Amino acid sequence: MKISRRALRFFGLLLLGFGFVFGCGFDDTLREYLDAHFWLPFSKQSWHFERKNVKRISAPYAGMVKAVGTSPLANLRRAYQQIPALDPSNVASETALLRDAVAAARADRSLTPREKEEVDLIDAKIDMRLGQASEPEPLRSSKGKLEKFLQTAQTPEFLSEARGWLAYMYFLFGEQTAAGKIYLDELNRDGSNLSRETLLTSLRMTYGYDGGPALREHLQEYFDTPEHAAFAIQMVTNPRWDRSIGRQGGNAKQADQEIQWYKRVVSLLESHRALLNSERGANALALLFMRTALGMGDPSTALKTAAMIPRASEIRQEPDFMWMLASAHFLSREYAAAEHPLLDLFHSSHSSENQKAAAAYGLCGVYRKTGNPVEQIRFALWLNTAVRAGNMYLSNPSVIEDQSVYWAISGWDLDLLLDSEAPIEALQAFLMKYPAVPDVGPVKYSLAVRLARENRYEEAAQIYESIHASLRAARMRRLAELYADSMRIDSNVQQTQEAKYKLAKFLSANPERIYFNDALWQGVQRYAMTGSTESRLTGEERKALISRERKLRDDQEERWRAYLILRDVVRDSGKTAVGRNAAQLALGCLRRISGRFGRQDEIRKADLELSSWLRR
Amino acid sequence: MRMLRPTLLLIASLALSTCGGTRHSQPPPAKWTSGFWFWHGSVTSAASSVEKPDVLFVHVGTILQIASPKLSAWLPEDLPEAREYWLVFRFERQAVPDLQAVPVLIREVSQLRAIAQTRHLNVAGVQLDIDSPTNALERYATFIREFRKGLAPGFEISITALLDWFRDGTAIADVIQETDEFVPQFYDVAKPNHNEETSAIAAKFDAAQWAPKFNRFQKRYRIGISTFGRARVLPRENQPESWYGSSLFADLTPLDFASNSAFTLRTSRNQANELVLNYQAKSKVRIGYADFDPGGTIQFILPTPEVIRTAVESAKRMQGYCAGVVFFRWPASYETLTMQPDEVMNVADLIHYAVKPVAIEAVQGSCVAVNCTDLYLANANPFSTRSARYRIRSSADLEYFLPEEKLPVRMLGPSELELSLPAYSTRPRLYLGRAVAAARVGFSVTEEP
Repeated sequence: MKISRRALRFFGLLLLGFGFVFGCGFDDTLREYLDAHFWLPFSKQSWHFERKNVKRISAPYAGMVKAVGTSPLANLRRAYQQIPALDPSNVASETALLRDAVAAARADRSLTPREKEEVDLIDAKIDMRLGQASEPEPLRSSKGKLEKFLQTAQTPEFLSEARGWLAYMYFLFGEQTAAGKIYLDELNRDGSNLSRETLLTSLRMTYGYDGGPALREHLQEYFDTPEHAAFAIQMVTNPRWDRSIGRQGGNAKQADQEIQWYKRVVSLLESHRALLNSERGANALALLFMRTALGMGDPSTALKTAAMIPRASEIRQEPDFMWMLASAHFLSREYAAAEHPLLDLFHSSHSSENQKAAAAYGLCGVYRKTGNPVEQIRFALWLNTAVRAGNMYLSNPSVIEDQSVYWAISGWDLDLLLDSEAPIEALQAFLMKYPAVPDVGPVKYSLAVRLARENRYEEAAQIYESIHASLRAARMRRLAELYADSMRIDSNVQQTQEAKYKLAKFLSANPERIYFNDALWQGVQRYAMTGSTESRLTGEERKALISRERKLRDDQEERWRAYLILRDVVRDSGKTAVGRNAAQLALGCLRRISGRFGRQDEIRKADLELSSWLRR
Repeated sequence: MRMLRPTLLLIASLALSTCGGTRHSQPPPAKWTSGFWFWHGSVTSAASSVEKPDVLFVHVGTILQIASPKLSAWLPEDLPEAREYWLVFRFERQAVPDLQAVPVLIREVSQLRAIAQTRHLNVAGVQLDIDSPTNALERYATFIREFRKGLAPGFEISITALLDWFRDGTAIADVIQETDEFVPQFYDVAKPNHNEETSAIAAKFDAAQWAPKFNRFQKRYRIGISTFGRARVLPRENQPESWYGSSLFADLTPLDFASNSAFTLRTSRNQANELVLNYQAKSKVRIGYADFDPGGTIQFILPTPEVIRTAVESAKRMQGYCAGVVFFRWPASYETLTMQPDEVMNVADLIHYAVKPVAIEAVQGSCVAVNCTDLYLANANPFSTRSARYRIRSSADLEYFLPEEKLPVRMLGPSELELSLPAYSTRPRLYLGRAVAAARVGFSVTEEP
């Protein structure tokens, strides 16, 4: 039975662990605002380059109207529409039939110019569909026919379609620049017959997240129009922030190459200033300069560039500008100066949810650095609520599409803030200032726990009652009595020792129910204690963090605190009944202290001393 | 594009449409090539300074069962640059998959090929990594023949080959006839055994012995060479043989033991001339998740430059249809005993770089509020037979230093670190830890006498 229970417990815990890991998208990051990657510019994807109110058309593609009758064109349309159902074992003869149908249609002298163009386009598309990786010749033929078609055709919808297919041919042949420019132009072209979704998907397939090596190699070729240049620069400077790569993923040579690469981008921008010489263009260029400067780790240039943009410029209202301005300040260690642009970004109606999250988390960093825990709690709490409301915890941070954005998924920043970092007075001030913000409950609960750790049980009880944590409230009331008894000055020595013993006994019987904040941690608190391995803090900050973590472990461990009381009882009572009982209970406490507590050597030493004392 | 998906499917289906005949003999290969197997878990970052390999055999899928056509396959997102790629499908059991697996395999190949095409990867063919029992080679030949029928013309088939297949009286000729190339694997030819001195990863091979056996098929082949190491706990005398099958360790390094006074070291060379390090526990001790009783021994078998150089030279002497070498494998992020690609290519005389002095490589971390720098000891000799002590100096005071776990490095002063490395315990690029300072600092290193 004993084994079964142990096995049951083991597998239960294992199941719980897997449940947590898979259910919650395990995220063990903390204080990400201390990481320069966090402050990189927002990533850009194809939809960011879409002009508003583009008037598209939706005409049938060449060969795709319903084939009616037996005219050569109808026959060609019919044959073309059968291509997906071609018998793979009989491709040669079926291809010949298609060619015959094209020839017949082309020979029909009754065709209108528009119908002739349709035949030509179908012809090119047949080649395209018969081509494949190991047989690229039909693809080349198709490409040639499409290029020729675009030089002579007049029908807008066919021209649009042909541009789309030609771009696809370029894509298949690895000609990213040619393909991408067509897709991008078509995305913003009035009268395009290619759907928005098709174009966005095609751009995504062509460029992926950041265009890859091909975009880097051919960047210069995009400086033919302002739109192409802006697109290419922003895509190629998309940030990468792979949290799955640890510290050891770095490489000095690669880092140097990256800096050299950014210098080249700057040089390209400098040499093509004329491309963006309108006022709007100049400001857009300034944004590109800021983006590039931040990418190469040069926040001071980004700040100087920002300062050149006129105060009244609309571009200052864009989320990208606000974020990059804040980033430049924070990265320059001008923490307070980052506050306003981040607040602007957080409150802007133009900001997306991701951008608001970035602003909120950035503000947590600003308030941490400027010593404003009340506002730090406010934004950490907002993030926590937003994460849960948006089910963000189901997404591991490294797979968030926008790789520059971090959602504080673990909630550990908030948990540590409430449980240890923010002083009690800050929690009280927060509740005074923001009594009705969503999810304020954990703040109240945390304040009650923190007060209990300070032996302020009556105040804790009142807070617990106000949030209907009745069990904890009752425990606090009982503790208030026991604590008061142990502190009475009118008791004699024996009564005081007995009262202390009772207090300790109550504590030892209620592990994780008094000083431990069970509302914050999901059994993984020890993984949030990273002071000893934290390397993004100053020496002084790190020492303070390690010290706070130690204090939290000490303060929250009921059995340790019970042991400390009992140790005094043993010392002061000697070998009396209460002394012996206290020693026995103290031993039990020591041996059952949670593994997250630490102080193993002290525990071992105390255990030996008490055991020896009891034997004597 | 609206028609993109149908077009890709069409391309895929057309790829299935043509049947190939029996593979006839080929002309001898004109070019010597070198390549790597790139297994799931391998990391592209290992390619930082390497010359682009000719060939990369990329593990893309695993056939899961003999009869049921289950298959898991995907093309890794991030691949090192290579001139040519092959899609490798591995069958984890020592058997030939049932023919029911063929259509599933063909479908996966077509899809992966289409994906590779969109990524502009030059995929030459598919490699089957199937450890067929020698007496099942006829069935394996049938399997490949059926598989071939579903592949597009020009898309080649390679197989990995076990050395046992080439003894007299087997049906290896039938198998090779169905392929475009084969890759005999000169490693892991025998299970590890109790005899610690004879256990080896690499198999020593004699070109004079093997060249006639391989060249007679008049088919292109490459020689598979191991570049990985292995750590295993040596079985005690009274332990059953199966016990040590589960005691291989991927995450332990010689440093874990060399820096622990509870162990003594004994070194030797095995029959393949690989370096063998035996660390024997003097007292009860725990390293990582492994417990050692007194007398317990962990053995490291390490590839050495000489072993790889000799293997490549032997491969070159094969002549005839030998097209080159394939190294197993491109290191995974967690592997500590596998040689880095540039190191392999250097010792194999495929690239050349001068021996560099020991240096500190300082990689800027991405800290905002402080200046953090990751320090690596570069160019130290991993096979050094003596311990070494290094003094690392920073150009300005450090606020603190976070040493890599278990690494014997400590701060002697605000701008000075000391690193003590026992024999055989370094790596070509050894992570030391993170230095944190208020401003950017430089680092230098000197070896202490």
